[in-house]
Amino acid sequence: MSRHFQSSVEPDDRTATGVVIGRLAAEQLDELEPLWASLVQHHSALKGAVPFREPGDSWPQMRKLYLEFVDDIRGFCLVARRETRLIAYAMVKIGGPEEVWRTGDKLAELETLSVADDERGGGVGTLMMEEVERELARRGVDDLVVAVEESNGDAQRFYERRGYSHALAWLYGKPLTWRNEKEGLAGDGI
Amino acid sequence: MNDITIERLPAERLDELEPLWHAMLDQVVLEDSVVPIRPAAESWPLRRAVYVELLQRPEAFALVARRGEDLIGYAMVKIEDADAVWYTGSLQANLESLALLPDERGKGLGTRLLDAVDEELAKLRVTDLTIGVDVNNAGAKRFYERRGFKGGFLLMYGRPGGGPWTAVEREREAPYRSMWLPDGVPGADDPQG
Repeated sequence: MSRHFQSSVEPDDRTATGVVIGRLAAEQLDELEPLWASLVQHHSALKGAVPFREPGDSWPQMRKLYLEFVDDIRGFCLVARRETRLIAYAMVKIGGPEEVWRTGDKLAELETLSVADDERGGGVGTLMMEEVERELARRGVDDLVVAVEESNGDAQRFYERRGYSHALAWLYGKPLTWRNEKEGLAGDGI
Repeated sequence: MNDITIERLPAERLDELEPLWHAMLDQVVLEDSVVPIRPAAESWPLRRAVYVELLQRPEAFALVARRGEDLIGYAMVKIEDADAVWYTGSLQANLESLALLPDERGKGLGTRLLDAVDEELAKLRVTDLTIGVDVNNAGAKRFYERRGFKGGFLLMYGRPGGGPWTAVEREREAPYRSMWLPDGVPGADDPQG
């Protein structure tokens, strides 16, 4: 599983009004770039274990990744608009089955859920998740995973309230650095 | 530990890993996996397909530990291009699996295998490694933390729209059966607690 799915939702989501949710087609992908940049900035501020690339550096690769999912078979992308302005997107990958966990034949991954800075805390995240879940139910997908940064407690609580549980920790390390420092470390338990 | 050799396993000999994969699944059950796991017989063909695909990439590798002729552990390492989001080198690695036979645990074999992984990564000039660990598996987390690993992301799992997890329902209908221990996994009669 990849670790690119991230969230910029807030814990105190309320009901959003005047927001229209629709599907994004592959040829409209470039419209997502500002929301991607906003999400990366939001995460950089959380100061997690691993530094983030500048949004301008990561966007071309994310765009390439997203292209695989927006075909409506391997995934889909939902966008929220207030009038004509794009204020959120959810990118969902449909793969699977998982080899260890007892998922169905299809496993959904919420790759990204990004909400514009000035729209956070207004219920847009909840609205998007409800729509994502409805679409997955329609497709008969019973299992969803989402990765959240360990330092992003707000996002973790948001998903916990929707019935999701911590299942796996993605650890990050620098093997070569460790080798240089390993003198003096005690033996292991494994 | 001196009678142990560590070497690369060629992709065409992947099937030799199957018993070790089954032993690892038992361990996942013992460590109280949050998500119920597949019957072992169902899991290996799926996992094997993942290994076949990742080993298409020439930099990826499988290391096996043997005592004499006997396979007692393995490490599977996936290599990918630079991460889209995180600052990594031009290549990054993921430790897909680290599996040891039950009798070989707690004797430093995991350290030996990971040291060998590090050496291979050094040859490839790969400086970034990620590892997924079950949240309840405190022993494994400590093991990696002692090697300098830090928490990056947490993977959350659930059923879209709420309701009982289908994985739990499937487990209830057909409980996990070990392929490794015919009498079942000791202490894991009720994996969902």
